[in-house]
Amino acid sequence: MAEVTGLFVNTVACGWTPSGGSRTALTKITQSAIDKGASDVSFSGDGDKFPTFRCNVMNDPSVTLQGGRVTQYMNLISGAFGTLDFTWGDAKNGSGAGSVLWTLVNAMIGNAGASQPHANFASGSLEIKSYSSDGVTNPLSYSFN
Amino acid sequence: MSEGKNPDALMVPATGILSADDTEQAAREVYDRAKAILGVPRAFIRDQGEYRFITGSPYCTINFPSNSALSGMPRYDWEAQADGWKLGYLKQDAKSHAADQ
Repeated sequence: MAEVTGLFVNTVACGWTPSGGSRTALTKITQSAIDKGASDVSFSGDGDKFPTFRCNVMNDPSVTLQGGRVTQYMNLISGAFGTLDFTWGDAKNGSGAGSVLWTLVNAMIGNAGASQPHANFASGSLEIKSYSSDGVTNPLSYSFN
Repeated sequence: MSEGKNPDALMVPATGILSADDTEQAAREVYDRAKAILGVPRAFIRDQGEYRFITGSPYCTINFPSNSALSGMPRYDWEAQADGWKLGYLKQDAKSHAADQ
């Protein structure tokens, strides 16, 4: 079995599967950023000058993609639901042994943007948010190759 | 395992991964063991805080979905193991209910 590095290079095999539809490859991805979206509240009262209690109250995972295929990202309809999947390649084996498949279910196309800097490639960004079917299960999962 | 059948889901304590010297390796060992127990070619791991919820599909949910008449009720019967792992077997209602997308 190939040596697994535990390090990742490049986002590969990124795809969007709209609900009830078929998967479309999202290509020319230059960055994929995962945000667990954890938020918390703290309590203080009386003469407290610092919080005396803090706890996690909400988790709202999302993914932000950046890449060069601007028109493709911009043409995805904000508010559309589906499933996003993409793979972080192993530093040595690419999409083979050691790579990680990320899957965001109940995903929704959020905001998209694009920019065209002078003397450089245009790039686009795409925010993909999600919800939990039962309010308990994390819609973001990972799987090893 | 119940009646010798593979469980439908696993709840695995995160402490075993997080306390390891090599969390990457520990996570992969959990993954390989989970695949074998579930009897699936690929497993999907979700961070549930103190536990990792692992199934053969990324669409499985711990409870019935909020649009179900059984909203909030657990979809699995859980069997605790000595090592802290919990084996989940789909309840009959969950089998007949298309809770997974």
